[in-house]
Amino acid sequence: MTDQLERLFADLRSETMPRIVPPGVEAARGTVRRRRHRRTAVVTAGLAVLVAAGLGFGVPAHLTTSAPTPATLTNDERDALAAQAAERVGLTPDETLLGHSFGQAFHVTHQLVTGDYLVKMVCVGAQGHADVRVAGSVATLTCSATPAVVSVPLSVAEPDLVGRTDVLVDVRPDAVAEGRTAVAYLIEMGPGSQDRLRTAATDAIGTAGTAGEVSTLSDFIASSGGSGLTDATMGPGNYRLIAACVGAGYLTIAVGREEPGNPGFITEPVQTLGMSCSDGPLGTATPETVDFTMPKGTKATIVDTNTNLEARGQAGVAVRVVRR
Amino acid sequence: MHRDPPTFDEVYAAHFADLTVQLFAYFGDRQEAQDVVQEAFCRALARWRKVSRYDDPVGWIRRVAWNLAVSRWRRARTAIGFLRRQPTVEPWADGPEPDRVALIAALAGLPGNQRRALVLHYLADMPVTEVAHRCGVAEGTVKSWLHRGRAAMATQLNLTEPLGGER
Repeated sequence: MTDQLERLFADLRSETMPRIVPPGVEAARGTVRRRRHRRTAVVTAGLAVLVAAGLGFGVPAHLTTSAPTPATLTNDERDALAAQAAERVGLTPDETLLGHSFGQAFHVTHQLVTGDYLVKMVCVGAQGHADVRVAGSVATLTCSATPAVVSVPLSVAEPDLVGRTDVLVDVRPDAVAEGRTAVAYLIEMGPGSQDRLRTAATDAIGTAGTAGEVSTLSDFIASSGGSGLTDATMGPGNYRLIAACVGAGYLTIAVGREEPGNPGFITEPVQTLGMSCSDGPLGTATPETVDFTMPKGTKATIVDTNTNLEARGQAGVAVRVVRR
Repeated sequence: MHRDPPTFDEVYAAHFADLTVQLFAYFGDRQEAQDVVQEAFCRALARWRKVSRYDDPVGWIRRVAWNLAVSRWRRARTAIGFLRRQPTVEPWADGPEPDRVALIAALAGLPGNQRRALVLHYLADMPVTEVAHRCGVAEGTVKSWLHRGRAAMATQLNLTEPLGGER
């Protein structure tokens, strides 16, 4: 059996290795460079307004009357509550880094691209409260079995830049809630800010209607992390792809022939392109260009974009294909 | 004899893919594995002068990647997530062979310590003593994890050859 098991692991390794496309040392250097030169942008959160309005926030923990405190939950029970809390705010952590759900006190620092966001948060559990501090402002959530989702605006402001700013989210359940509840939050970029990134990427690849243009794509990278197009007019021939990404993270593009009998899927890419998304001053994103040739028999060409987790919900991408 | 520490580029080129496979086997999600390995390399790069002089820089990077991955609350869902998302995340590649899907699913069903021991032993090629050292437990404990893990895998995967031992 060990031989069989060894063989299975060896097959897993040999099959998986060729499929891994490392983002590269330059991407790593870019990430480290950005972290070393973080800008001190103005960060404001609209939590105070909503606290004053009482929208979904409970009474601060120290003002509540104490009830008999039940025993703390097991890890599995807290995980189950965390899953419920995640579902309530629409958090699918398989697809985004801009949110977390956890059954005890925790804090996370997000590097957010300049823009307007909405922070959705909830505390699931029998009783207690949890303080959620976002960019310095505190909201107190009331925990219950069926809590309403509290949404608060967050503005990461640096008008002339795409920029990256550290935003701390600090979650602290009170003594009653600790170990018996789970808090989830999700940070979503607003539509105006999404358009800003998408437009910046589109501007970077030049004006539409270029001679020989056969296909274009302009999109905001949503939490699912991908975008793409299938073009039945792109048959055999020589093409040039121009692409730009603005925001956070890393973008990979694959071009290939649509797999016969499997619409929307590529068998083997004929060309791939990778790039870091630009977070410099607006208007300075540099497009990347790559040439490719579609082989005989091509009936439709797919241009598929995929990003790493960092880019999801925080990047705009634009692609243009022209005939050579 | 003095030996120069390895450069970051050398270590990255030599170990990125291998580490990603190990994390993939443990967590069941290749994209996720790739992301946490990249993040671990970024953290290594930020302190490369120090990390490069460690006896085992790759071990440091592996540990950081592992810690990053297990700190994510969703770890229990990764195998399901992998199976669900595979066609949409990387549609330009062929799907994994059925045996590999079964292997990942069987691994996902194991307790974390058994899964980790199997991955380190079979994919990172670590002998029992090193797995024990990495996990901070006795060798006998690792042998027990490997034995139980192999037995469970044999049942899950319908392996027919007789039960063997660790290398």
